[in-house]
Amino acid sequence: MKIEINDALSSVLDGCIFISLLFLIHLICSYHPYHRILPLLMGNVLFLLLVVSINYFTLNPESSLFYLLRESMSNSIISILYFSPFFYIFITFIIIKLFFRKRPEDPLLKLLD
Amino acid sequence: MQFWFGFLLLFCGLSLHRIGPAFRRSNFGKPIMSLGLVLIFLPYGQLSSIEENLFDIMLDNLPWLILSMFGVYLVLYGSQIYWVNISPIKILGILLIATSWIYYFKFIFNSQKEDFSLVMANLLGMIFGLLYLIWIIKLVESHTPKVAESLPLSESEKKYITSILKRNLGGNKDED
Repeated sequence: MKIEINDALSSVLDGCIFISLLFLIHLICSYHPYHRILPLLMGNVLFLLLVVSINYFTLNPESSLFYLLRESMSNSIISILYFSPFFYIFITFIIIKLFFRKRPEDPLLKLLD
Repeated sequence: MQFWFGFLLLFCGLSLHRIGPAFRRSNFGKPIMSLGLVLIFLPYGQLSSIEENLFDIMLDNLPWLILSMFGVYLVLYGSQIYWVNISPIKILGILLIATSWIYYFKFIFNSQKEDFSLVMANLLGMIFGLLYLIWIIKLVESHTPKVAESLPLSESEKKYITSILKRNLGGNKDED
């Protein structure tokens, strides 16, 4: 039971690490002079350090930091791939609605007849 | 390393592409994304167990993802604005979407071995991360100092603007 709880907690932290890393990359790549990047960067890096330290020192003390980051990224991408069909159901529904959409009757155009 | 460098380039490319045409560097978005995909899907050396697992799952999912993306793109492209539809393209798009679903249920649905509870825990972590980021963005925005109100126009500025308006819009000359 203990291992299962540890695994679940580790998975939650993996998700946090993944989002934090993505946001870090996004902040750096989308920098522009009118952007107050420093507070966001600091807040994100602090969050990342906190999550990584909990994961590293408490849940996985025997693994290396690099291994932990790779595992977090890998697990999160797999989760997204696993969950993507559920999103795709909604996209398919919207696309089918779009496919069968017909032009609504325009009262102004009717006046021309 | 090449595998993860590919992911880094892919995410950088997405972010660059996302910032839009107002910034010249957004032009590099698509090439960087393509380079990232090449580095991910053409691994140079032997992958370790973590990367190999991810690589296999990505390769398995790649066909239906490509089919679905092309299908959605074609339906959107075929549904032109002003109600001028390109029906053959739309029909092709719907066929591709249907094929992607068939492929998914035939080859992927039963072969997934991941623990659903761990996947949900991971997605929960992502939601927590997103909520934290939304909170921190809101906090930073609320602490951003407001721009001071601009001063009213001086007499010389008023005269200058009046002259511009008169030159462009005419006006009653008797009032001068």
